[in-house]
Amino acid sequence: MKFYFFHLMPYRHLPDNFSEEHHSVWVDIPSNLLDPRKTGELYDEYIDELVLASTLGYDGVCVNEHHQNGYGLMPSPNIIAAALARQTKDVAIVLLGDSIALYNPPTRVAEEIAMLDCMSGGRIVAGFPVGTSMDTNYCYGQNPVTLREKYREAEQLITRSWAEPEPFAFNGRYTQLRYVNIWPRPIQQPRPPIWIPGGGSVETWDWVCERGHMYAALSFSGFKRSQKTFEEFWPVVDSYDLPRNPYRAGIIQFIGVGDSEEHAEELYAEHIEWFYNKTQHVYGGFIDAPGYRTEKTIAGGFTTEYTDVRIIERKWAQLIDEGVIIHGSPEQVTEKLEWLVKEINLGVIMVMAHFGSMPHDLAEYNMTRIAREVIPNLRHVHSEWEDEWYPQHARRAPGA
Amino acid sequence: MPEPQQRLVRTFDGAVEVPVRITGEGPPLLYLHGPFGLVEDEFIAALAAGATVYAPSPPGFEGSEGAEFVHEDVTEITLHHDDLLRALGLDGPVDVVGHSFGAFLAEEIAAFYPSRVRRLALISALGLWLEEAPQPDLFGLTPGTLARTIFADIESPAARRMFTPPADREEARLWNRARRRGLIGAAKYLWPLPDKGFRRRAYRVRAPTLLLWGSEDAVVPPGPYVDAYRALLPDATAEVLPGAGHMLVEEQPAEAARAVLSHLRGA
Repeated sequence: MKFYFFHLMPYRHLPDNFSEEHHSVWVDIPSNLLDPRKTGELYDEYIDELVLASTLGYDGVCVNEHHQNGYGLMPSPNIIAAALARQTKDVAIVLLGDSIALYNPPTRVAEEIAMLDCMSGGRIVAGFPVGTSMDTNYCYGQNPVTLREKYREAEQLITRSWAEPEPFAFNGRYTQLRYVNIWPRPIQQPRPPIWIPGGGSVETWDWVCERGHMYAALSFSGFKRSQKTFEEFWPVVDSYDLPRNPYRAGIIQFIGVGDSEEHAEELYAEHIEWFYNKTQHVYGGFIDAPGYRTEKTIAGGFTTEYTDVRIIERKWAQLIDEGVIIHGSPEQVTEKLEWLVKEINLGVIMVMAHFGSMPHDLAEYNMTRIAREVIPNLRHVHSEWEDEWYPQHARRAPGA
Repeated sequence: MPEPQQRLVRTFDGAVEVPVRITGEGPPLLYLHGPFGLVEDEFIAALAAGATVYAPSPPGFEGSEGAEFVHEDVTEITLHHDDLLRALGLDGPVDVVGHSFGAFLAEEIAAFYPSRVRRLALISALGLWLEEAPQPDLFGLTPGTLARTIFADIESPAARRMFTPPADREEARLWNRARRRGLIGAAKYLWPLPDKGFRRRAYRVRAPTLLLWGSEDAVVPPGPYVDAYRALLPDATAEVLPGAGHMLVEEQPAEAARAVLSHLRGA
């Protein structure tokens, strides 16, 4: 098994009445709610947490890209990754990732990842999300109808730009370049491993199988939803005659460790509720731009929750019930995780050990206990498989 | 009057197919509907009293095929309409009327192919963006807010009809899908702002033009936008219907059709 420490970097100073008073946490969040000096302090705290994770025995650290929102302070994950390349040793740095349809030309992303790979000694994972509708369509003005085609073209261009030894011309529909010849080149050859974050659309599964990429299911709906996702995912892998290598897939999971379930509730309930009730307060009109879902997905029965009032008021008990957070003593958490990763055949857990309004000392406590008292008990699971999606020059933890 | 008929018309050398409703008697009139699909039955019927109305749906809308073949820029969708007019045998100048997104399409036909358009009527037209009068984001609103934005009175029968899904589950699913496909078809050409450069091409429009607006249009406020169109189309005449919103073709179909037909007759 491999375990990564995943940080969203929330702006945890939102006012208590944020959801009642404000339209949306994403896209049109009022700028006067943000204090740049406090933001600087948060970057310090959060980068310190990522660096700490790299010393505790996590296999890697994950950063991600979101725009114009209080849910995450990383419009550019590459900037945080640059700090981590210098401040961490050994572990993988997972960009999860760069929304490649947003960059013109997309070779900019190829260049930055190549820089990061050189700076980190070959420890980069390149993650390429399509991006949420809020980020891509509403914040970055991308046409929702052509977004996915543009994204796929960008992936072709970037992977080719790392692989081809000679300058080449690229005649795409969205990007035309006479001379593609990026400098520097990544240390990892033919390229860094590629992870594709997704929210469960069938076409993405086909595509990761065709392209040989890893699938990172980034749902915050909990492991019960993940179970359903992977009941459908693995048969798709079979249909491409690919082995069910557990490292081909990962999930994100909130984890809260204490001395007991009650203790964990005492420590973490308010912070996970804050995460849902504040950072998921997104105006319904921004969730799913017309055309963001493909006709195939809509025809397959996907319906948008297209309602006027979108109240996400979730309480601890409900979050436990849905499997959003796995909590309890180290033994209880170990037992549940072991069952889960065997049940759905997963080799990768992206651990959310900091979430919502959690202060720095509690984040350190949680991530440390997970690293020392949970992860070592699970290293042996899936050890018969080779992880083909781990950076060539990151350190493999014993048994992973 | 002959029975309304539905024809399927192919463009782009057969790659794209769109449905065209044909109804009425008289000189040909190309009618291009708004982003919610062809819902304005009464308005069409009133126009059909004085014209043969050809009402196509653009690629992407319900009943169309091959929308992905047409790129999202304005030249491609306007080429599509040139192909469409030829396929319909409408080679001489025709009257062109458009509402909302349909007016955006109509004004481009008049700018790219001035000799194809005899007279032009732009109703609640999208196609310009004024810094001093920013428009609401039609594609980023929940249904309730959308209803309040496009109708002057959300309690009106027209508003209720448009925002009440059929009771039958399967019909409601199809209704939802048609509505969604319409928004997708329109968003493709209007995203993220409904200004694709008509301002630069407006000088090419030769057809006498009617600017028909609702006084309460909260999408494209008549004050600044009618003025802006008049500045671009010096020979245009304007008529503002009191009490109507952006959906005036549904809110005041008889008055709207009267204004359009009298303009087309040159009165």
